[in-house]
Amino acid sequence: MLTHSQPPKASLSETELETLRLLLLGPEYKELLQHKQMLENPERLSEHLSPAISQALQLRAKQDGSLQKVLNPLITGALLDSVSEDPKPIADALYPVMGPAIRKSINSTMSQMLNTFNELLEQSVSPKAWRWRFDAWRTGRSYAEVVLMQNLVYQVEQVFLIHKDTGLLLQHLVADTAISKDPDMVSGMLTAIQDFISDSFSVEQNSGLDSLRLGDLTVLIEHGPSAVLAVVVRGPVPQGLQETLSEAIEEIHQQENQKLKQYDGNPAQFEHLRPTLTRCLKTQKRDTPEAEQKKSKAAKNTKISMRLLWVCLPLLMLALAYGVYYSSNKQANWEALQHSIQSEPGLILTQAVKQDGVYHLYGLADPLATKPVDLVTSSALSDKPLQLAFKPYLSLESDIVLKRLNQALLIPNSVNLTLQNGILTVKGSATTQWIAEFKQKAPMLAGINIININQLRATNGS
Amino acid sequence: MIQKKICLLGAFAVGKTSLIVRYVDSLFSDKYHTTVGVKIDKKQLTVDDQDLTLMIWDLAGQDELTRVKTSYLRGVSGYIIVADVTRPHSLDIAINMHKETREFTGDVPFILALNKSDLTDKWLIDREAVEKLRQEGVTVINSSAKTGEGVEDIFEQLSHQMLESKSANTTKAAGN
Repeated sequence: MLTHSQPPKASLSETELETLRLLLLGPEYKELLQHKQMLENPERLSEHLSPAISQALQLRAKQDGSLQKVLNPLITGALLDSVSEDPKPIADALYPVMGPAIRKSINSTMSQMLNTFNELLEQSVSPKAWRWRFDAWRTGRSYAEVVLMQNLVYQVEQVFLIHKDTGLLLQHLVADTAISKDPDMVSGMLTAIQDFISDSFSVEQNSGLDSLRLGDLTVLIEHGPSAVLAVVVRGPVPQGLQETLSEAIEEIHQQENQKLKQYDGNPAQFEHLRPTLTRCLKTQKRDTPEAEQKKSKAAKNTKISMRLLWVCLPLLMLALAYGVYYSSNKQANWEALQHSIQSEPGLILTQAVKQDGVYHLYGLADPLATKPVDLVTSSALSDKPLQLAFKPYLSLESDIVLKRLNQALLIPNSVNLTLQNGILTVKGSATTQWIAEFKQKAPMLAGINIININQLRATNGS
Repeated sequence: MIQKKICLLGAFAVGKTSLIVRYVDSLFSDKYHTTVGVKIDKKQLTVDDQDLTLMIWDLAGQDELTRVKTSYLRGVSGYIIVADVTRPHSLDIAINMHKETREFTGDVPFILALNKSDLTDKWLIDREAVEKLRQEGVTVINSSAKTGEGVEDIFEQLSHQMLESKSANTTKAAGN
């Protein structure tokens, strides 16, 4: 700093100052001046710095991470600007990276799904599968949904039995592989949160929090009048767990209603409820490699037995069909026999039954009719145990009457007899002797009412 | 082992939380005060040969315009009301809170804690009023978060009173 020893009489002019500076600072003065001007001029400063900048950054980066920290927000901001202005360049740049990553993810998901479906198909005829189908029909969900829910992996990690009013923890269970933080405080806080929600949002009286969900963690809460059951589930919530909880809390209230209503602070009195609570501690784990092997072996066995089934089933069906055919055939034959007996002149069938494996035929038989036993032997039931019981009677059927007539009078070949409606028509020729005998005997036969001999010629003979 | 639910009440910044922080087990941070309005701590102690687990519902500080959140008071066996000796108004708030709480909980044991009592030269609470309360049967304990004075005493006395009232109730029931 220049200080004047004498009071300034007149200020020095610019050129004089310039000369003074030159004298004091020497030739470097010009250089210094240039530097100063350069520093003040951004364009020239950039020019000056540009060769060194990259190297400087490199050196700085080697020293510490401060460069990264500084650049981070800048780069993020720059990316955001770029994407909002025109996303295409960034998208194009990412495209070769995103494609394979997406495909890989899809492949792994698909192969997992295929494994699940394979298992499902193999189980599709098992009794479990039929139960699932029934469940699906009953609850109105798709079969695939029910099956997937059954096969997914979950674990109930903790079970809390909490006194409703105070939030005090009555009983607590933890699965072996799970970690629990101080359960007393957790149950207190859980109660406080429910109170908070009821206070903050207008909710129905007596309604309670049902579930809390965060990521793959779900806390299911089942409310009773005096106590609350809460479970922590990691993974998808299995079907039927909510039901299990309802049943458990109802059971607990049924057993301990008094003790719960007037809780005196001693949780040990609820120790015996632990088995009930353990029922809620369900787990379905993904199988270990050994278990996987066992499962695949079991699956193979199922496959073999399935194949056997597919072979045996047609045979069974065939046997069944044959059985049906056979028995219906027998029935048809039986009916045919009955029919043939019934339609045989001179036979009347009064009863046809099969008793204790033996066929019984009861009826009436004219002595001149075909014997029933002959009809049986000529039928398809000839080898079957058959019992016949036919009582004798006199038939007035035309065929039989004619036979009877034939027995009583020898009918010559030249005579032709027809009997219809009790009218006996005689045609042809016969000896007078025979005609006389005929006139005598024929009317005596039952079944003959009128005899017509107009067309009968007498011949002379002995 | 017996469990009891107790509540910790008081005006803003009377030092409730800092009073007990070294004497209780904590899982949750103070942020729950501003969000849910309550923070749960646990204190285990033995009084009169009885193992006790006290679940402490540390309620967020109140002012005179806010009513006590009665839902958090359900099932409480006893409570502690904290006032700040350097702020006389906190004692008024404390008395109001006590009245409101009583309406809800009925006649349960309670302790009045006069916190920051180590700041003797800043003591502004009306000492006569405090003496009057003592004479009315209120248990008043001087406490300090800084020195730790009175904290164990508060818990022990409250526990003792709670156990006494419980046995009184059972003998009453037995006597009927």
